[in-house]
Amino acid sequence: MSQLTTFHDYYDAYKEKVYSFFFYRLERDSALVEDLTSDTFLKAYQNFDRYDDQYAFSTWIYTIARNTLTDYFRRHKIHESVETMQEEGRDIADDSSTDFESQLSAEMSVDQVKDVLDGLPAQQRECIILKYLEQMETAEIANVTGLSEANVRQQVSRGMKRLRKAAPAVYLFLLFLL
Amino acid sequence: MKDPKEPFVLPLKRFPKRLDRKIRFRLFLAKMRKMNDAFWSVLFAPKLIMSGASLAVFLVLGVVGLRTYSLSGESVVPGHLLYDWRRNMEITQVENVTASEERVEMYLDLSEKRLDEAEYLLSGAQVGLQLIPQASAEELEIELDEESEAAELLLESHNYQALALEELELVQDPDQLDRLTERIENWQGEYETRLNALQPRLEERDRPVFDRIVSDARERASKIGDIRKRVKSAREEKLQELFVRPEPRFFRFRRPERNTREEHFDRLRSLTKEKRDEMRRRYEALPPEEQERVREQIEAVREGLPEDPTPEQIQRAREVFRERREQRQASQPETQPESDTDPEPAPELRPERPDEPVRQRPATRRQR
Repeated sequence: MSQLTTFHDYYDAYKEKVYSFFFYRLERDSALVEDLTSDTFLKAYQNFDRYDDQYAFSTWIYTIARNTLTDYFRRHKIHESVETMQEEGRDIADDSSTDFESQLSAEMSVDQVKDVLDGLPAQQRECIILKYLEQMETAEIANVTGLSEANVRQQVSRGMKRLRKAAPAVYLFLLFLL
Repeated sequence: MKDPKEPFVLPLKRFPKRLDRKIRFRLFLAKMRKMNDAFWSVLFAPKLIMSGASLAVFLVLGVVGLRTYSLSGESVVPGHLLYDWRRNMEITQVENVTASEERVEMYLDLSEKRLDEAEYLLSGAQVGLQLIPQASAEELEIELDEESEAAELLLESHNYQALALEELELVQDPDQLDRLTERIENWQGEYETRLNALQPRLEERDRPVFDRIVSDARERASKIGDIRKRVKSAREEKLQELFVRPEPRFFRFRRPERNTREEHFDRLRSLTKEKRDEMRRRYEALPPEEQERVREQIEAVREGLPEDPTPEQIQRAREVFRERREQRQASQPETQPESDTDPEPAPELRPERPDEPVRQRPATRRQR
């Protein structure tokens, strides 16, 4: 990867990832995803002089993205926020997840992955997204989400457990790839 | 097929180009704002807003006041700092006026202004040099030749009157023409009075200018007399227009009633009959020799002679006519009693069929 120096270099490198983060994290609302992506990069630009390049840019930008999302939830009084999300989460054992094996036999599309992840509680979903979208270490995820590393590991583990229950093929596929 | 060693990465959602443009634009705006942050913060600082506003108001008032002073100030004469500005503004004003009436008035105003300026200069008042820096004021004081400047101003005032008169020729409205002529006459009288008052102050070298102005003023008086006549005739025309009112538009443009088909043919028949009776009367009034000649001509026309026949053609037609007459007389000796006294009846141009009904067109399909 070439050396990134200017903000626009970082923007070009991370615009799809941040957009995908919001896409997987939120319900199907493309306008909202676009707005939050735009706000995230604008905040990042305004505070770019505070960015310390000793740390990964991904951690910094995802922190901003997560804070932007939190602000949005607070502003609109959406109770399904990160803070209120409990680990027991929603029950994902729905019938629609039984055919993931057949879906994974082919290339999984973005929408199919989103369908899988939508079945997870928000916090677990967020940890898994950060882990598998950006290949973040647990410590980085902990920095972004503000959770402890143990908690992150627990969230990822529980998320995978739920996926295993709902769609064993997905779980096996993820384990196999990792 | 995916490489099993390759780490699993969630597929990335395709980034919309529209969003890319939007974000880039917002980043550009943010960049601009950041760059101009210092400038904007100074300009819109709460303490400075009021002072900036008052400064702007002061500037506007200053410009307006200066403009008014330069346009109407008495002491703004040649040599004054603002005099060039005044002249430029006057030129702009004249160029912006298009109506002849307004232009006449403007020329008269300018004429009056030039005379005022000339009077100011000739009165010996100090030119407003206080606005001019001292160094250039001295130079101007040396170079300023008030008397010749005054003569030039008088000449210019005189020329503006001429321009006003020329422009007056273009005014069409009698009322405006009357009003402006009266104003020019008044100004002319005042101008002459003031000019005569200025005469003793003029130098000898300015005499030619003064004489020229005086002689032109006489010509101008006669020109004003012509314009007066024109005003009078224009007034009369207007009065005539008022008293002889044209037919109202509704009646003027009303379509005439169309005759019916029968009326049309009746009219045509009566016209033809009148024409034919007239011709008959004229024919019977002719002497017998002339009647014979007319008959021959008519026969000749029947034979297809042209309108302007040659003598040979006429002779040939006459011979044909005689032959036919003899044949007719030979074939109908009983029915046509000979009489030496009664002239031969006039040949009919067309068979007269007064009782014949008008030929109707065949009925159309709709009529059937």
